Amino acid sequence: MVEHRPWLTFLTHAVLISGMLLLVFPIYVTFVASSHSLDEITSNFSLLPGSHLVENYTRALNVGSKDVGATVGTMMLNSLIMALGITIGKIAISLIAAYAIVYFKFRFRMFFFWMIFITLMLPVEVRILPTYKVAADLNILDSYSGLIFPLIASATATFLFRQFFMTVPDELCEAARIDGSGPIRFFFDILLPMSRTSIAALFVILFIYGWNQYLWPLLITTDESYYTLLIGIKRMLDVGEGQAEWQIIMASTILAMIPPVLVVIFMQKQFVKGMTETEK
Amino acid sequence: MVNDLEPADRDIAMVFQNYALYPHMSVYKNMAYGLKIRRMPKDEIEKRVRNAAKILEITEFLDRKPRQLSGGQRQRVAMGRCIVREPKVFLFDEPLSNLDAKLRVQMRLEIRRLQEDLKVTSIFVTHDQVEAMTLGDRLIVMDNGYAAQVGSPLEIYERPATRFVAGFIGSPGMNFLPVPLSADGQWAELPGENRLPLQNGGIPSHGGQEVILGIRPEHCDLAGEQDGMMHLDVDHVEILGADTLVYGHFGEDKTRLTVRLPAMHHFEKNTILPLIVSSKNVHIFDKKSEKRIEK
Amino acid sequence: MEKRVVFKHKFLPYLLVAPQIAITIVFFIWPASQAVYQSVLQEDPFGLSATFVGLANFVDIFTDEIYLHSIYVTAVFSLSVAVIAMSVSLLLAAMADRVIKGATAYKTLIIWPYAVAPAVAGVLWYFLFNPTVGIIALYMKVLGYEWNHSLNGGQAMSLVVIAAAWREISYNFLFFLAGLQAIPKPFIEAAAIDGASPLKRFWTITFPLLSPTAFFLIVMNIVYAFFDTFGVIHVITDGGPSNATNIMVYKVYHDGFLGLDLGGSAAQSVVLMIIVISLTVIQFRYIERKVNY
Repeated sequence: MVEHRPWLTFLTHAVLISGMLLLVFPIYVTFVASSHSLDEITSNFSLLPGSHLVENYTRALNVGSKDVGATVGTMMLNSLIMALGITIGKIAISLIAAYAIVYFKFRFRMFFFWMIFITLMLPVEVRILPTYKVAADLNILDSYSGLIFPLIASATATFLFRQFFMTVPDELCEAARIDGSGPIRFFFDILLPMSRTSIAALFVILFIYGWNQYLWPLLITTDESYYTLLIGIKRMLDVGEGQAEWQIIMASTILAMIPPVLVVIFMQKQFVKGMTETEK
Repeated sequence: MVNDLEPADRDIAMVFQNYALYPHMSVYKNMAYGLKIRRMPKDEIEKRVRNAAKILEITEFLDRKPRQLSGGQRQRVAMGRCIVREPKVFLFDEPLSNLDAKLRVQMRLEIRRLQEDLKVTSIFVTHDQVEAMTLGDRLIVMDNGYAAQVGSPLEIYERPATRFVAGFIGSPGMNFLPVPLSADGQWAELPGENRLPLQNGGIPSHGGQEVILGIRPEHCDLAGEQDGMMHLDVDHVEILGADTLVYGHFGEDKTRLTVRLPAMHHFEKNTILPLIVSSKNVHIFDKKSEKRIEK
Repeated sequence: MEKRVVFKHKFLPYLLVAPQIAITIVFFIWPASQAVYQSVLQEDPFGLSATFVGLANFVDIFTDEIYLHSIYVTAVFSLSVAVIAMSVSLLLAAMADRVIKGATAYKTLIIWPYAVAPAVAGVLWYFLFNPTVGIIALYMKVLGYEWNHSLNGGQAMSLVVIAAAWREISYNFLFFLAGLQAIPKPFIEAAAIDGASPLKRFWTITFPLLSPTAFFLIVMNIVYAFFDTFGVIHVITDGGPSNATNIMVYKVYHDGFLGLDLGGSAAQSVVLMIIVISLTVIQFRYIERKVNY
C-alpha cells in the first residue's frame, strides 16, 4: 500500500486465505458429509466428496428424514413463504408508515413514530410467552399468518425509508402537486420508483432475516406441515438414543444455506448497502 | 383567493431552482406527466410534448433520463414541462442560479425570447439584478417580505424608492454618503469643503438636516483640477476593459467612494482624482426612513 | 428535520400508519405489557387465579442460584463472542485493506457466512465436534484429548462461543473494512514518511481512528450474543450440560415455554427488556456522537 515489502504482502494474503479457510471449513465438511452414506459418515469419514450426493439430496427433498414427517421440499417451501412474507410485509407497511410520517402533518404523528421506535427494544426473545398467547388467541398457531404477521413490524425499515424520503427534494413534491398529482399518485408515480435502491437493499437484508428466523417458528409450529427448514433440521437432530440420519441432516443444512447465501453473493452491493444503512 | 386552491388547480406552471425533474422518468414522461394526470388524450399529449421539445430544441433528448443531461438541458426540460401545460402563469424560481456564468447569459436570452413568443404572463424570481433588468417588464423589488418598489426596470434604476432598492440595482452598487444639507436645502455639503447644488429648487423641507446622498459609480466623471467636487485618493483600481473601476476615499473622514470610468485608465495608488457628479444624477434618501426624498 | 411541503388529508395518514401500528400494538406492546403485568403476579398451581405479589418474583429470580449462574454464563458467553469475533475480523479487515488486487474477491468470500442462520451455524459446528461422528472431536481423540461437550460444561461453552462467533466475524469484518477504508490515506502516508513501521502505524493511527467503529461493534456484538444466538444454544446444547450454557434468553424460553412458570419467566422477560433498552440507548447515543464528529 504505502511502501513495498514483499514479505508483508505475502503475510497479508496468507492471513486472508487462512481466515477464509477457517470460515469455509465447517461448510466444506458439511457438504462432503452430505455426499456420503450414513455408514461412511459414522465409520470412516473421508474429507473427499463421496458418491451419494444425488441420492441424499433427492431423498431429503422428496422423502425427508425418517424422524420428521415432512419432506425437506415442503419445509423449504415453508421457509420461503415465511421469508418472502416477512420481507414483503415489512417493506410494504414500513414504506407507507414512513410516507405518512414524512409527508403528512396529523395529530399523534410523533406519538406513532415513537411507538414504532419502541419495537426496536422488544425482540421476540423478551416477550416469548405473552406473544405466543396472543397468537394462540388469534388462532394463528400452525399457520402461515402466524409465521409472518407477528414479525412484520419494523422500526429499522421505517427509519430507513423515512431517512430516504427526507433526502428527496421538497421541490419534487411541489412539482408533482402542480402537475396535479394527489398524495396517492405522488406515492406510486414518484416516490415508490425513486425508492427502488433502498427497497432492493432492504429486500436482501430482510430476506436473510426472514429465512433465518428460528425462535418464533419453533414456538408456534407443532404441525409438521408448517415446519420451516431450520426447525426441521433441529427435529432431525433430536433423536434421543437413536442414530441421527447425518447424511440427510447435512444435505438439509446445505439446502438451508443456499437461498440466503446466493442472495448475498449475487446482490452483494445491495447487501452491503442494506447492512450499513439499517444499522444507522 | 388563489391561496385556497390546490396547487394543481391554480393553472400555473413552475420552473424550480433545482429543476425538480422526476429522476426516474424520461424527458418525455417528465413533460407528459402533468397532462397524463389531467387525462388528456394520448395524441394531444404527444403533440404538445413534441411541439414544446421543438421550441426548446430538446427533441433528441426525449428518451433520456434527467441525469444524462447537462444543466442547461435540464433547465429546458423544466421549462418544457411548463410549456406543455399552457398555463395562465409561469413561475420561475431562480431558474438560472445553478448554471455557470456563460450558460446563464445564454439561457437568459432564450427565456426572454420564449416569453415573447408564448406571450404568457411570467413571474421570475431572482437575486441577480442583471436578470431582473433584462427579463422584466415590471420589477417588484422585495425587501424582507415587503414589496419595496414596483415599476419598470428603468424607473427603478432612475428613481429608486428606497435606499435598499437603490443599492440592489446597479453594479457596482450605489455609493451612499451621509451629508448635511445647507439651511435652505439648496446644497448638499460634500466632505472636503465642496458643495453640490441640488436640482429643481432643492429640498427646503430638509434644510439643515443630515440626509443620505446616493451616487452611482457610473455617474461620476473626471474633472479638471479646479472643477473637482471630490478629490478621490485612489486605493485600488480594477480594469475591466470597457471601463475602469476606481475605489478610493476623500475628505477628512475618508469617505469611501467607488467610481466607474469609461475606457481604460491606469492610476497609481494614492493618485488624487478630481471628480464631478451631475446633480441630476444624485439621489437623496431620508436618514431614518431610508425613503427617497422628492421635494 | 421536517418537510416544508406536506399533504393535507383528514384520514389518509392514519390509514397509512394503521398496519404498522396495529402489528406493533398487537404483537409488541400488548405482549410486552402483559409480561410486565405478569411479573408482579403469582398464579396458583392450577392457573385459576393470580394474586399481586409486588416484586416477589424479582426477588425470587435474583436469589435463585440457577438464575444468577445464567447471568454469569451470559456475560462469559457474550464477552467471549465479542472478543473473538472482533479480534479475528479486525485482523482480516486490516489485511484486506492492504490488498489491492483481489480485494473484492476476498470481501465476498469473507462476508457470506453472515447469511448463514445462527441455528445452521450451530448445526455445522455441532457436527464437527460431535463426539461420535465429528471430525474435529475424533482428531482430538487421536491426539489424546477427550472431547464431549454433552458432558463437559467448559467444552460446551467453547463450542457455542465458536459457533456464534464464526458467523459474527463476517458482520464485524464488513464494518471494520468500511471503517478502515474511510480513513484518509494521507494520515497513514505521513506516518510512513516519518518512518513508522506498519504495525506501529496501525496501533498509533489506524486503531484510534477506528475506535468509533469498534465501540459500535462491541454494542452490536453484545446485542447479537444476548438475543440472536438462541438458535445456536438450542441446536448445540439445549442450555446444558447442567446449565453450563444456559444463557438468559434460553432460560426465559425454557422456564416459560417448557416449564410454564408464568411469573418467573415474566420477571426474567422484564429484566431482559431493561437490558435491551439500555443497549439501544447506548447504541443511539453513540450514533448521535458519530453524527456530531
